[in-house]
Amino acid sequence: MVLEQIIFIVLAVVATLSAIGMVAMKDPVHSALMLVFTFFNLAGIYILMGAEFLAAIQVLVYAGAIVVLFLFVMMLLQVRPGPSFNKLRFFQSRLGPVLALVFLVEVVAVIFGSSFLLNGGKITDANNRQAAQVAASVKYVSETRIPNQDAQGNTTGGTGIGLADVRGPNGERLSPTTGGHPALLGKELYSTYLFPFEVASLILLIAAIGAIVIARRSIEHDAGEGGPSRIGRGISLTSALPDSPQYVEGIKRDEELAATAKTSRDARLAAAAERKLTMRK
Amino acid sequence: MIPVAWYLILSGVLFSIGMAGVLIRRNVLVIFMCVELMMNAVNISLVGFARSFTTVHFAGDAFFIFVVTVSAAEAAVGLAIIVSMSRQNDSIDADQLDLLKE
Repeated sequence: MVLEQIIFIVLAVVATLSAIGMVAMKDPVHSALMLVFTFFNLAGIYILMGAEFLAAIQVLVYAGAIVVLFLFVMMLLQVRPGPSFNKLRFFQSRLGPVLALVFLVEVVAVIFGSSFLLNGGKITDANNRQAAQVAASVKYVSETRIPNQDAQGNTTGGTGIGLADVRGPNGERLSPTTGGHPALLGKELYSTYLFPFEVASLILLIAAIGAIVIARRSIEHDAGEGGPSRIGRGISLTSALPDSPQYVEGIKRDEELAATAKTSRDARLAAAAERKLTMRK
Repeated sequence: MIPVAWYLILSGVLFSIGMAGVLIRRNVLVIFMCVELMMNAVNISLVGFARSFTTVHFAGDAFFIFVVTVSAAEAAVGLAIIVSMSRQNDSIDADQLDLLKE
């Protein structure tokens, strides 16, 4: 077995185990840390594929930004560990894993069912003549040639760790230092995928605005001593509709809170609860 | 040489684990992390395909970038929803989100 394959198997197994650990951990903080570990292993696999830039993105964006965002939210919310596995309902504890297992079997069956994948990704099988035709029709000459081809023009899998001696059509050496993965990817992004790229920037903008609007505090919380003013308040998704069960329940809860806080001599809490109550009414 | 099937199997396994997590767990935050894991599984198969077939080299890589963008946007909005949810009913248990039932 080639060294590359051994590295892949090690990374894949560790990634899978830590993903299972993420699902199994009771404490969400532990889950997040397991997720970081999974992401690091996946970054290793991207390096193995010869996609160093994607590995960097994987570490920076996923492990660096998104999981840290998760941890921040956990810190804000002070989440407690959830119920243990055997206290869950029948569907969640038994049927859920079974459904996921059925899905996995389906995926593996499809992978092994498509015969061209079995012989190392060669599009030679008669069953896949159509796929080969499609592949031939979209084949274009470019300097971005990376996957290896044998004499028959069959693809023979991944690129290795980027150390392979990749030759261009005229036998010149395609050194990663002259172009490299990020440069080629950038060229592709700004030419072929220019429109999707712009749409992606719009998505980010809308998500940022939406997150701010949703996470704003509710109207009664915003209004200070001067009473609620509705100027520039935006949409409040956090306050319940008047006369809804949640609203009535909220009033009841505030009253209880005010009563208990008074007896427990916590003046600040009592004042806050009372103010909230008057705002609601 | 790593066969394409290996990438796809790893991708399928990770996706299934994420799916199991979404079905099993009740903490909304963990469900959300499982969704991120599923997106990563898809990314592996995208890049694996792109590396294994000569035709369009950087299509998979470009799609990786877009998937990362969408999942970052999703994380921002989703976590905002979770924060607002926990303010309203003091828990992030997925089973207690039954506002639309009533």
